[in-house]
Parts: sequence; C-alpha cells; structure tokens
Amino acid sequence: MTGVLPVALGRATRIVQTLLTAGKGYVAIMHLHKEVEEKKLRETIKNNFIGKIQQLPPLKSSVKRQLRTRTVYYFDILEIDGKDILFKVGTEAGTYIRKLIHDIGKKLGIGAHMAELRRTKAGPFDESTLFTLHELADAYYFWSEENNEKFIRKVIQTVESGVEHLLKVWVFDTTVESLCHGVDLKVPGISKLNNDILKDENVAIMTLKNELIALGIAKINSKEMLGERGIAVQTEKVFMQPGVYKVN
Amino acid sequence: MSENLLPFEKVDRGILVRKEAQTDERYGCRPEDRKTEEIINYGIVNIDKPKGPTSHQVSDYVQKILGITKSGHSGTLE
Repeated sequence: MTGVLPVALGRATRIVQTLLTAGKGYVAIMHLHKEVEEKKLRETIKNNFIGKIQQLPPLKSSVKRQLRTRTVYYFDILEIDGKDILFKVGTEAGTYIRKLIHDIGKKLGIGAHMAELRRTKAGPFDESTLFTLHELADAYYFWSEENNEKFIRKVIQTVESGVEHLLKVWVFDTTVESLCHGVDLKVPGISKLNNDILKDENVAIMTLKNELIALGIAKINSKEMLGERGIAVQTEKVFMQPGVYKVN
Repeated sequence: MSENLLPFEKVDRGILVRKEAQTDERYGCRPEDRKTEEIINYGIVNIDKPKGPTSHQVSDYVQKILGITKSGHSGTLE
C-alpha cells in the first residue's frame, strides 16, 4: 500500500483541484549505493535539500522537463540501517521524491535510489482517515444490501473535509443563492472570516451551517473584509447547487 | 525542526466576526446530516492506495464500487 489517495466523488470531483496544489507528506526509504558517515548525510541534507530546491522533473512525468523551484518543508531522518535511510519529508505540491533522493545521492557523490515510498499527507488528508478499497466495498455492501449505513458514513467524508486546509469566509443565508450562480462575494455578505486571509489567496466560501458553497480567490485581506464595501472574494468553482437557500 | 508540519498546518485559524448572524434551519443542511444517498455522490474517500494499479485506476474502482459516474483523485505519487 502506498498511502493517502483522496478520491472525490461525483459532484465533489472538482475539489481535487485544491488538493493538487496542497502540501504533501511522505515516508520513504532511500537506499544509498555506498555507506556514508551519518554526520555527512545529515549535513548534506540540511544544507542542500531543506527549504527551496531546484528540481528537474523525471523523464516519466506529465509536466515540462525544465528546472523548477520547489520547497521542502521538513526532512526528518527516522532510522539509519546501513545503506537504508528511513525518513519523513514534507514538500510543496509537485516535488518528486524519487528525484529528490536521486539528487541527494548525487550530492553525496555515491548515488542513491528510492526503495519505498508511502504518502502520509495530501493537504488535509492524513493516515487517520485511510480505508482500503476492500473496506469501501464492504461498507457499500452493508448499506446497499443490509440497510446498515454506519460503515459507509464512516468511510466517506464530507466534501467540506477537503477544504479544511483553506482559510474561510462564512456568509449570510441571504447571500448564498447569488454565490451559487457564480457571482463574486461582496464585503456586506460576510458574517465571519478567518483572520489571516491574504489578497490572492485561495479561500473557501461557507454557509453558517458550515456547508461549502464555492472556492474563490481573496481580492482583499481579512482586515479589509471587515469594512463596508468592495469585492471580497472572486468566485471560482461553485459546489452548492442553486435553490438550496431560496430565502426570499 | 522539531515538529513536522506543512505550511497550512501552522496557519492561525482565529475567527473575526464581521456581523453576528443566525442561520435558518429551513434552508440547507449541516454536512454531517446529509443523507447517505447524497454523500455517495458528493463526498471524499481517503483510499490507502494499493501498489499495483495507477491512481486513475483506483479512482475508477471507487466509481464502480459506489455505482457513480464521476470521480477524481489528487494526483499520482510524486
């Protein structure tokens, strides 16, 4: 098993867009081609492979092969067993771990390759909510054949769990319908909001019942959203269907 | 680096209230109260991916298991 793979269902499908660009976490085993002093290994990683790195996507990849800057947020060696290095790493989306390991081997001057890889985080999803395909099939069977919904409701998470990593604004009931039609969110429609929203940041627009309405891009920061007028969030992807909040 | 956190895990999620308001229970539905029929076509499953098949194939299996026609995954292992 290679770990966390969030699959969005039906009308929730487009939520994967916000997961694609979210940070990722992995545990991996790097196999060194020769043994190396632990101090040298740690120093090399610390000085060259944490923070901003330059990476050339592998031959077998879906993106253009040119050097890209990526950020490694943490790199934590858990165990060293001869030439096998077990480590945890947190990276910006689009960082290739196989390549990272290859580059570390190269920098050490001995070569290295990836022996194992398991994803532990994809945005807000981690190993605490993982289920296998078998468990999903069983849970569906219990529900459809035995009318027991307990398991399927445990396996399937809400679409809102897919925006837990984003900052949010919550809007009045009377504002919801226009957003469902793709209209931008204006300041007077906001009831409350997270306090650290920056301009141009991706945010989730929520109802006061914590339902996801839409994803959007903040046009102003949190402080400015406390004001009286102006466009607060440019609505990008609408999830809630019109008609749910026909308040008037 | 003592704690292994991604940037969004370190963000301050304090809440500012612009204008306090109630929500009318006649409209919408709290996410946890949605019917099972609905979440099957409007939810997310976090699958422990098997080694053999591609992410795309796993996404297809999920569709078949649940009898739905659309799904998407968050990208292949990088």
